[in-house]
Amino acid sequence: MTRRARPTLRCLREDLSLPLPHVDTPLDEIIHPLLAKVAERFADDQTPQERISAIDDEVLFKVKIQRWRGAAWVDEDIAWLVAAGKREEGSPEDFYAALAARGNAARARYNAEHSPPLSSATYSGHLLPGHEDDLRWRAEAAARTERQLRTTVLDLVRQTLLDGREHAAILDGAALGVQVLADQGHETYVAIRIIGSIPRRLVATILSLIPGCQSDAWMSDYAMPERAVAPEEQIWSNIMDPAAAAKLLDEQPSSP
Amino acid sequence: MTMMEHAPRQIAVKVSPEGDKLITSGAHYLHMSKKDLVEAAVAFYLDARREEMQAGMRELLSELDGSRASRVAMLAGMTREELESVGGTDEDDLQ
Repeated sequence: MTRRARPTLRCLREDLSLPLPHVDTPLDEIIHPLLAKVAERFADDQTPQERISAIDDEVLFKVKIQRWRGAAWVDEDIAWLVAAGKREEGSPEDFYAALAARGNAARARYNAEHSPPLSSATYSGHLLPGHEDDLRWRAEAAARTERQLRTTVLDLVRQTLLDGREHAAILDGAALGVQVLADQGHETYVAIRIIGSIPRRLVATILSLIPGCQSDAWMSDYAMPERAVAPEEQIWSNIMDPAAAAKLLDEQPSSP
Repeated sequence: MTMMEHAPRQIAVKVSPEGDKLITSGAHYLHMSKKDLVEAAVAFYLDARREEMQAGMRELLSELDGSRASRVAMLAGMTREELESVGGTDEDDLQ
């Protein structure tokens, strides 16, 4: 199994002192020697690892490169860098001893506020990936989906504007068809056909990407002029501003 | 000579005994045939549900303001504030 290496947001900001990039940059693409080392060491399960023995509530592993020291926590798909620091030249303080001391203090605080108390010597739960890391993960996936959707939808609109026929593409197992009829009683009519079970949020995003359409004018249809709607098929229609259509045709298609 | 006029083709629809009882009493009440009641009721129901679907979609679309951030937040199922707190989007990435 090939695992990706990512820092938790706390580790990125506080320990590595790196700025948080836009969600378009996945955190597993951040260039840092410690993250490169994590990626290398945890690429497969056969590589022997050294556990941080002074941390006993979670299994954290040592990661060392140059003067950098880190703690990695591994889940099924990702090796997380959950804490990091630099070994200072001539300093007697060991990063892992300091991490354990912070773990002891965190355990004391935890036990003061929770019942039953922890029986372990340390508490490291606050270092592990949490809610904001989950948000970041979902946002990165959504940014990738948005980019793909935008490219696909605009390309389909361009193609149908040129010939008036329906053009379709497959998106995450669903079929998306777009047809623009440019001369329907001096109006430009656009129909979107989606076949497959996809979330309504995805449908809304697709509709919002069609240029020149009023967002409150989308109509849902349960039948086509010549046939019934198929199972798991949905059809949305609207009137498109011809100026927006012309502008789209003047623009260069984007690369995915 | 007698001309035989072909009646339009009819399709049988299966309903439960309870549904049939409801259609029968409804047709008596409205002085219409069961067939006409079923057709009118289905069209009425579909229109009502279509309006419901459109309203739901309009509500979702109202959260999208044309920005990339609004689309990414929509797809991720999070608020704009949550998206911003974990890095936000590059609005220049539109080509």
